[in-house]
Amino acid sequence: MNVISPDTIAALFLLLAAVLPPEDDPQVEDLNSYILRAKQQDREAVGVLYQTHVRRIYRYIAARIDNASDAEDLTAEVFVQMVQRIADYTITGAPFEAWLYRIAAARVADYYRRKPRVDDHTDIEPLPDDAMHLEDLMQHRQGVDELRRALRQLPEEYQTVLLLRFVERKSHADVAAVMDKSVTAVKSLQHRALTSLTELLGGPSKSRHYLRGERE
Amino acid sequence: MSSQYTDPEILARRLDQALPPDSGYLPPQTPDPLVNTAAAVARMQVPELRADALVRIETRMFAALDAQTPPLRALPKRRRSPYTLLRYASVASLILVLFIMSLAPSVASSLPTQPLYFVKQTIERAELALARDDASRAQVLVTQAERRAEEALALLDNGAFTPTLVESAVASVSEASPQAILSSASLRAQTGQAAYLLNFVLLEAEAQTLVEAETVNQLSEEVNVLTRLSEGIPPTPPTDDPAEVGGAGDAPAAASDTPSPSPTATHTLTPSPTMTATTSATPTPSATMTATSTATVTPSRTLTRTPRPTRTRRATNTPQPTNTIRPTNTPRPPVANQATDCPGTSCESQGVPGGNVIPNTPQGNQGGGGSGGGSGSPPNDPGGGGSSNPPNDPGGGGNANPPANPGGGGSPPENPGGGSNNNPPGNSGGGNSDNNGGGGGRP
Repeated sequence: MNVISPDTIAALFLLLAAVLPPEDDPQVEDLNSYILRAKQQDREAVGVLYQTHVRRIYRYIAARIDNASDAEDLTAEVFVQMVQRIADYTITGAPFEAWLYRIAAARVADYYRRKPRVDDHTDIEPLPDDAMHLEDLMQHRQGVDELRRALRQLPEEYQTVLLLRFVERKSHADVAAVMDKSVTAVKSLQHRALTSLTELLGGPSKSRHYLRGERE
Repeated sequence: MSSQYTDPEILARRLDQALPPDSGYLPPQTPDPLVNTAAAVARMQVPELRADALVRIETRMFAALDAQTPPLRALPKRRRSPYTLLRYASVASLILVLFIMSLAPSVASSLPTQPLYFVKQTIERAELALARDDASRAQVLVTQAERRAEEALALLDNGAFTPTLVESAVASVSEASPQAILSSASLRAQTGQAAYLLNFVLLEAEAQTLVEAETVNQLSEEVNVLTRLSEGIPPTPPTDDPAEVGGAGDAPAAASDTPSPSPTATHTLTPSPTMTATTSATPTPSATMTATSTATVTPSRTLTRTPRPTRTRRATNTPQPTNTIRPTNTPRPPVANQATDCPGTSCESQGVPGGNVIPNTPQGNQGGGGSGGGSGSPPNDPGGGGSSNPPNDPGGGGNANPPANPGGGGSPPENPGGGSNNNPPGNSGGGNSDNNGGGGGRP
């Protein structure tokens, strides 16, 4: 009776290991499992997805609109839509929050279509922590308002990249995954967004002025 | 607008340094307005979600969830990837294959007394079942017979003997198509090898008193079938041939049963040096085989198993082996016989059957194994056999002797022996007229 050599057996084992795909990342696999359960309307899984993403979605919405109460309502609408549409959601390579950001962007767009823009500064901008003179405070708030107004004048993609990059402090790769773009495209988009915002703010000199809290 | 970093890649690197990801660090003012704008956006404080708003939003979300269709089924808390199960199954299968492969040598070398032997038998049955035609069946059966022989040999090494293995080997070959074996030189050789091993095992087993002589006889006759097949002889019905049993006479061999020593010698003798040594003593290969085992083996039995070769007699000029002949491990030199040795010439030329030729030596007088020939007498020594004639006495039979030496044949020049008529003057002996001596010893 002939015996297969150990080298042949080892080669077969290596071939088998190469054919089979590797194990997924455990964190991604855990999130995917919650998504799958949420698709089956599992309350616990839905709650986990909510707690994981609610705060960043709210910040994104709050940075794009001026009313805190409206921001909360829009956030609720986002997660209501999440539970209503998650059955149709397909797990792909993109992060789950990318889908939530797209829902949030659509809610903000609808918000501005339904409601005329109203400058409401009282609820959004908190008071600075350091002690400031009242006059300085007023000037600070005017600068922040000006920045916000300038930001809202940008296209939605410009706003999203600036908020994800500099408010959420995400990397170029993470922003690319959320926005379903390449890293090169995100860098280019970032460059155009900052250029446009800088121009809206009055050019270089005005930018430095804003940072110092002074008026020229 | 002027910027030190107009290239998006350079700007991106500068921004990663000024405002690193996943960090709250805020840089001081820089000469680059774009970086300053980015810093301004980073400083744009965005309110955090209040706790009551957190609960309110969650409540609204679950309300919407409850308003939907109830869930169809509950998923397990952790769902494995389908590839995980396949991976585990593949690894388990590979481990099982490795385990079986590691057992293969043990199965192949297993003996009837060992646990894995039944696995070996099962595999052999499968091998036989897979054989489709006569030729492949014959190959499988002959191979299995060879395995039985090897197993019997392995058992013998452990001091055990099982007649069943011999019977099984014979049965395997008998089950095969004789034509398939006879038509294949490799199968015949394999069959011969199995027969050789089985015969050796039988003899050794008997020598070690592991089996009775009657059993050995019976099994040897069965093994003989294999031997015949290996030599191209179709199997014949068994017959009671007294010649085969008695070991004497010129009964013609059943077909070509080892008619000549040379083929059988090569067939049976070459593997063992002891066997080769005994071959020189005995003409038959069977005798050789017996000699290799022990001295106690009676050659008669083995001899009976090999048909007497008529041609062997012609080839070797050796007398027919008989029961009285005991083969030994060392060849014995031929023994001289005064009565029948034929000095000077071959015995056959002088009508003496089977005698040894004794070389002529002018000086000495060597006796041979002949059948009673004269061995010559020393000088002044009356020899025997020859008729001595006294001087002036016509002798008969040619026994020329010196006046003082009436000796017989084979005498030195000064002592002409009998058989010659070279008589001294006055002594007309009989026989030859010009004969200095007997058949031997000429000056």
